[in-house]
Amino acid sequence: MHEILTEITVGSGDIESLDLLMELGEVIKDTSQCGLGQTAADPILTTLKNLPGLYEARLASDDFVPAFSIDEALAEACAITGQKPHGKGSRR
Amino acid sequence: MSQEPVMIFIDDIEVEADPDVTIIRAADAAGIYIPRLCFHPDLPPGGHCRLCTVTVNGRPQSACTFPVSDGLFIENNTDELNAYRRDIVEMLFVEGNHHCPACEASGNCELQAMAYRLGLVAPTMPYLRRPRELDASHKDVYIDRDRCILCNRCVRASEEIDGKYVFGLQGRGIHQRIAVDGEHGLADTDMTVTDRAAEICPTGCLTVKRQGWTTPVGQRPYDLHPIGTDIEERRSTA
Repeated sequence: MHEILTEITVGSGDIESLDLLMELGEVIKDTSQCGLGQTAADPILTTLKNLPGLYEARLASDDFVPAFSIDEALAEACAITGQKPHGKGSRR
Repeated sequence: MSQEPVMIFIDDIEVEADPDVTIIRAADAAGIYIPRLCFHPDLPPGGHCRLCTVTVNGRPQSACTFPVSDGLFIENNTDELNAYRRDIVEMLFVEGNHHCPACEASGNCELQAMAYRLGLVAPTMPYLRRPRELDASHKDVYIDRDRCILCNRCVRASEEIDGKYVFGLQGRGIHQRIAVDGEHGLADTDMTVTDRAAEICPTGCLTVKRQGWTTPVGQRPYDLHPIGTDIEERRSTA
């Protein structure tokens, strides 16, 4: 949970990480043995419930941000072969 | 001391149970399978893995530690509880490094079998990739902490059955690891290959050397029947 939260606070989380955060919190809350575990997720769960805007404002705007540019990576090969990439994964 | 049996209800099935057992033992005797990893019938219950969490009169409790009493209303095989269990198993997978295809315990691994039973196809949570040490110092047994799920079974087996206190848990939370009572690893302990602790590991963490892959694929314990089938058969034949 800490990793997901870090991901969100640095602005690279997506809407799915919020769902996962909520899901993990519920699991921890309901299956914990003692009071410590049963309340450990509460700060995140209650803020998710009452202040969702604070989380959503920090989410990454795009659904999917690629780690590298496929076009740049293929530029040299394109120049050598004189061909442009085509097919499913191509953005052209 | 003869005591009257008590009646409990597990998923609306009426079950007669001895009054001095826990829910999981009562369910096993009646042929109802409650998923579990850290529980072993020969060991005292641990309550570590949380997989056997059932709701008792509406409250979540671990079935391996909760004693039966008359009229308990227990929910076990519900979508919500199974989703929790799937999440717990997934967390165990991403917390360690369970390389099933290359593991000696594959097909005889309770964690792997549990994932299959609960319908966990592939983990989606981020892997933690924390360093975990391998201990191959002992001549007959090795510990691969990457495959440890901290079920505490080896700790309990060494204490209760072998009477040796070879293992223990060290550290807290995410840093918890299996520790051994020897300065330079397992070789420095009085562990022997005949110890119960050597074969009680539900995964491939504590493995006997030179015995891997002796059973062909297709004949391994969980190849043909999902985990828990043996218990459920008691019900269909009863």
